[in-house]
Amino acid sequence: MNITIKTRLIIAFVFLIGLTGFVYYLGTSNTNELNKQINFIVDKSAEKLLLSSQLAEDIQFITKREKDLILTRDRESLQELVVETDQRISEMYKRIEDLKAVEDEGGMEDVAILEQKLKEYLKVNKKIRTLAYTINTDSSSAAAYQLSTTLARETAADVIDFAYFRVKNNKKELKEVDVMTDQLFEEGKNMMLTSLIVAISIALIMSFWIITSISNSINKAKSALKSVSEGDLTVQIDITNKDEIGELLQHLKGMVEKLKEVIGSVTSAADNISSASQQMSSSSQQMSEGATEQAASAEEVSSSMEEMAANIQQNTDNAQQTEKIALQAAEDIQEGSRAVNQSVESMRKIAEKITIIGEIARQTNLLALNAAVEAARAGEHGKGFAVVAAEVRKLAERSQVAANEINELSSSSVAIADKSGRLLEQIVPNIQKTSRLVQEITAASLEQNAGSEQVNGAIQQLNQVIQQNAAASEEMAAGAEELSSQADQLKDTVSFFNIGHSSFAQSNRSKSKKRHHIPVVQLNGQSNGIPKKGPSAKTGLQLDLNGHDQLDADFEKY
Amino acid sequence: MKQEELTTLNSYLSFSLDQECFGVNVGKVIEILEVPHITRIPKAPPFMRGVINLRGTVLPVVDTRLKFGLAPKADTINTCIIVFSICIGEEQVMVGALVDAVQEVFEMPESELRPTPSMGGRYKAEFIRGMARRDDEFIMVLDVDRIFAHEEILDLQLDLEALKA
Repeated sequence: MNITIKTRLIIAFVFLIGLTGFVYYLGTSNTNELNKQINFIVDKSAEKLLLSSQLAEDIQFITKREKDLILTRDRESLQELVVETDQRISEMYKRIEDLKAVEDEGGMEDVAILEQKLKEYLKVNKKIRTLAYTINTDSSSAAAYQLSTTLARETAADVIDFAYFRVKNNKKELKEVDVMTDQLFEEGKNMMLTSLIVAISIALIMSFWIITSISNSINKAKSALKSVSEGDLTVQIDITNKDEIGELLQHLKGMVEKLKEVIGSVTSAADNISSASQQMSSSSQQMSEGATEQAASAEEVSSSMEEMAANIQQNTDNAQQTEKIALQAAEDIQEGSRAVNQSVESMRKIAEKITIIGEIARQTNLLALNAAVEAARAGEHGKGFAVVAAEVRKLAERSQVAANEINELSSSSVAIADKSGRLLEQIVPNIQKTSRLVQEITAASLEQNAGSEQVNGAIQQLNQVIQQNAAASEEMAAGAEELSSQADQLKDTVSFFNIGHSSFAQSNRSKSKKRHHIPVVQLNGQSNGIPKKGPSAKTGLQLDLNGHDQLDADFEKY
Repeated sequence: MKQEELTTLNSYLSFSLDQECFGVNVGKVIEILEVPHITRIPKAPPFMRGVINLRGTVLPVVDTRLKFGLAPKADTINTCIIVFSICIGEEQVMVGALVDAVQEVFEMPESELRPTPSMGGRYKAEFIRGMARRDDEFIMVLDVDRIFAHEEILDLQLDLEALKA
């Protein structure tokens, strides 16, 4: 059925409300009718009864006063009686008017008759009053009495009779109304009872229908949920109706499907995690080994760096010495340059002196020539002197030649010394430059030294990091083992759910259990002498003591 | 010593001028001087270098190179002044001659003096007494009296005397 519970309930309630309304309508209409009848009774029949009986009373009162009027002689009392009687008559007319207002057509005729009869009596009454009051003599009173006992009595009795007849008539009417209301009440009661029975039966049917449909659906959902709660996800949920419970079942079905998928993927993921953690474990062990090798390499690099640092230090020292030597050489060369300059100066001085000597020689030559001239002019006497003069001249010439030669030599040596001085001076900046360069080399090698120290420090840090890495990878291996076991546990937990192909998960689990191996550490001295830590304290180690190496050769095996 | 004796002396003073070697009789030579400060004389002929003060005496100096019509040349360290005593008529006059270099005093007999080849040349033959051979070169022996006994020098001498007076 495609009607939702909401619609069903709405239909039921609307129906019941409608039925209730109908019952209410019935009751109301019945009571209205009854009310009308009661009103009729209260407003008309009772009024009519009252008025008719009052009219009868009034007539009796008036006849009584009539008697009194006849009997009384006192004027004042008469006056009083007349007034009373007139007042009563006017009241009577008023009552008749009232009666006319409440009376129906049939009644109106009766009222007209009543009025007619009343008027007849009142005519008689007037005559009596005239006789008794106006004339007021004994004869008139007797006449009045006569009249009163005959005609007046008859007419009055007629009116009273008619009034009482009216009263009787009215009572009959009331009885009829009573019968009618009884009938009405009976009818209304029956109708309400019928409708109540119908409503109750319909409500019963509808509630049964609603309750059974809801409970059926809920029972289905309950059984499905029970299966799910017990982990059975293979439960088949067939949805027959499309109400809210049907939707709920639809969603439950969806949930079960989704859960199935999720559990399947969780199972496969757990498998994957398990295998991945195995791989991770072995990888991290490899990493640990790698880290150990790295540590050894770093150690080597560190020692190399230290050697290098020592070399650099030596270089620095050498460079510093070289710098000192270069500075010393520069100074020496400057000294040498100065010495050369001094020697040049000295040579110049020598040349000057030699020039003086040359001058002297020239002058001596001249003097000798003069002497020779003198000697020649002296003739035979000057012959000896001439010889001497000639000798002196020759000596002077020779000394001049020698002086010239010395001069030449000194000038050439001055040129050479000058050149060598210049060369030395040229060397000085080169050596200074060399010194600067060597200084730079020193600085550079100092920096290198610092750099190598830094590198060394960095390598130490690297070493530490590698050690940490090794430890971390070992921890990682342990973690991977833990992860593997956690994955197994997860699979165990998830296997609570039956998703239809449990055999797969089961076999997988058993396989993973088998794969849970314990790492083997071979203590055969192949790991560069650096002891390997076990992968984890939890799983323990398998020691393989079958390996042989040179170290084992020193020991006896038992 | 007498003038006659002096002229007969066989000693000669050789000096060089340009590239030639000349000789004069020692009898005509009074002394040899280094070149002192020479006072120039205005309006004098170009070969007259000027006058010098020789121990109080005013001595006219002749630039021999110019006198001999050679190219003028700056004085060197070897440039000397030879003071000649020349005879002009009966008068002995002292004249300084600038020469490039004085060489030596040598003896040579009169017979070795050879006559000048009459083939003209740069130097006037009347000024040269003869050619002498000394080692491997020729020395032209000059007649100093003739060379310097020139009007100009005389005029100069006179002017100087007048100036002195």
